Amino acid sequence: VADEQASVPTGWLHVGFARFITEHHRTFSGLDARAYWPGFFAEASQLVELSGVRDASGFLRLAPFFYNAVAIAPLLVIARCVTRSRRLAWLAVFVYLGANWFQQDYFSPQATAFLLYLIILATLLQNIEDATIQPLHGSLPARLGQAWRRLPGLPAGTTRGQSLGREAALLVIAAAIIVSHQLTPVTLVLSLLAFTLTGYTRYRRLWIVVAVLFMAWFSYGATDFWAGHLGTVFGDIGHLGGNLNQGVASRVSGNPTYQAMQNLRLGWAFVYVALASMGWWSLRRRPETLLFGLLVASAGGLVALQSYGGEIVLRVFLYTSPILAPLAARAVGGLLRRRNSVTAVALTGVLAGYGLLGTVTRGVNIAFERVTNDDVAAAQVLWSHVKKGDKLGYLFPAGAYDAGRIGDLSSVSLQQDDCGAPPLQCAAALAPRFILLSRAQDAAEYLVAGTPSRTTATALGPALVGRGLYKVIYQHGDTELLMLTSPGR
Amino acid sequence: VIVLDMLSRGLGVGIISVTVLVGLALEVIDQLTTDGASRADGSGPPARRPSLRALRIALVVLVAASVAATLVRIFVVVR
Repeated sequence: VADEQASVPTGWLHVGFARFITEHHRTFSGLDARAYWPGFFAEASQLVELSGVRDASGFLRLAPFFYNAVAIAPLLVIARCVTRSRRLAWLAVFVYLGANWFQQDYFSPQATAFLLYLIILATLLQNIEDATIQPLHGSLPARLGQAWRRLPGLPAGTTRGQSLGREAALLVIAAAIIVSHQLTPVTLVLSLLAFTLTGYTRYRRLWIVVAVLFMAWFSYGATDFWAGHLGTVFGDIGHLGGNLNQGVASRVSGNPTYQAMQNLRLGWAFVYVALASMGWWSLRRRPETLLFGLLVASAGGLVALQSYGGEIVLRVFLYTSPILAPLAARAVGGLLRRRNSVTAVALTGVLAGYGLLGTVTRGVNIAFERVTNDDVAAAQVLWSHVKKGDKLGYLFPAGAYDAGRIGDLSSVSLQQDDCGAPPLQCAAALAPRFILLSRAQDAAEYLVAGTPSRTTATALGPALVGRGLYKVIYQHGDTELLMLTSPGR
Repeated sequence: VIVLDMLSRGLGVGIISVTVLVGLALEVIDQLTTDGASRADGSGPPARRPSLRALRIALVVLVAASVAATLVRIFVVVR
């Protein structure tokens, strides 16, 4: 909130999608795969029209605060059900926010879908707390059979009609998730199935209805998404090792410092999961232990289904965090049992270190994900010059240029790995009408691509201008926008 | 393929719609006719639940048909 502009360029792209819907009154089908899950973008477009602002960029800066602040309520409910302690529930909220290195709380469909998922999870877990549930008896197979047939009582103070109304509300929320995001419905169906298998929900067929609705949307609403590249969609199923490798090992690359920070993130995540495992073990005598384990597994199982462009481990962490956080809080809560000055100091030290590590791991990518006022000003100059069919060259997709003129402007990477030649040669050969260069791109080249120079992008501008190929149409700070001098090239 | 395309569009959407309706009908009946467990220790009377056997079987068949319709749809589009 305190920075110049909202970080994460993908958030600016989402502003562009919402703007497209506002301007064209239709989705951006054919331009991006996300068009086939337009719920979030349509909602953002509606919000823009209702609030009377120019576009959704005003929502960007407050989005992380909004998503995290609103998540506290369902998180508290979930954590109270898991820990059965008000104090540990608040600690779980702190643990959750401190472990939010995955930074999926920017203006995005997944952040909204995740919030809705949290609300469903919290409602179902609260129902368990408020209802009488018959205990299971006998051997493990007998108990599993009883669990499958078990129907919890009505939550205290709830009539049959109210219970049905609550289920209808959950179904509407699930439908909103289905049309907004690809991955969250899968996790939701598996989580609902976990509740049914363990006999902890009255809504025993909700998972079937949600699964069928998802199937219908996928096969009829999003046909153009998977038509032609079915292998990409289904090819990762069962490739657990490959998906894990894409999600973990292959992401640790680039500059040695950047690699060290990535390893710190991994270590941080490992400690978090280890703490949660300890917390889960401490609950092993509670009847709901299996349910908590299955809820974590239902999100973890995604690794066996999809690589999600190398982001699946990150997404698994996101979906498991509402259960992992209270479990980890319970493990940390061991320090709270004896209240004296030593445990108070120890807990303060643990939480201070935890908060510090959380901040460090969250900010690993900030050098190339940050968007400055200069980036936004350059984007506005770009949009004022763009004609339909123009191309924009860059070394790394940084900045805010995606927040407008979606469909009019296509992009081309001048980076050596993508183009097959040094950036200067690429720019001369491909001759995109515009080239955007910035310090964020320098940082991406230095940290992610591992190039020895710290000015790969910003040094390209003077070289192109010096050769007479491009002219500068915007330059301020470390952001520069170039335009081709002879458009006929 | 043309016949399959027509079937996968019309019939597929129809099957899936009926599946959702039957699933919802079962949920509505379950919610409105059943209180569930009466005591936490299980000593109360058993949960009162209507059998609805025909609807349950219909739901299983319809879910299978929905999956089949989805597979046909994918086959048609890929072809």
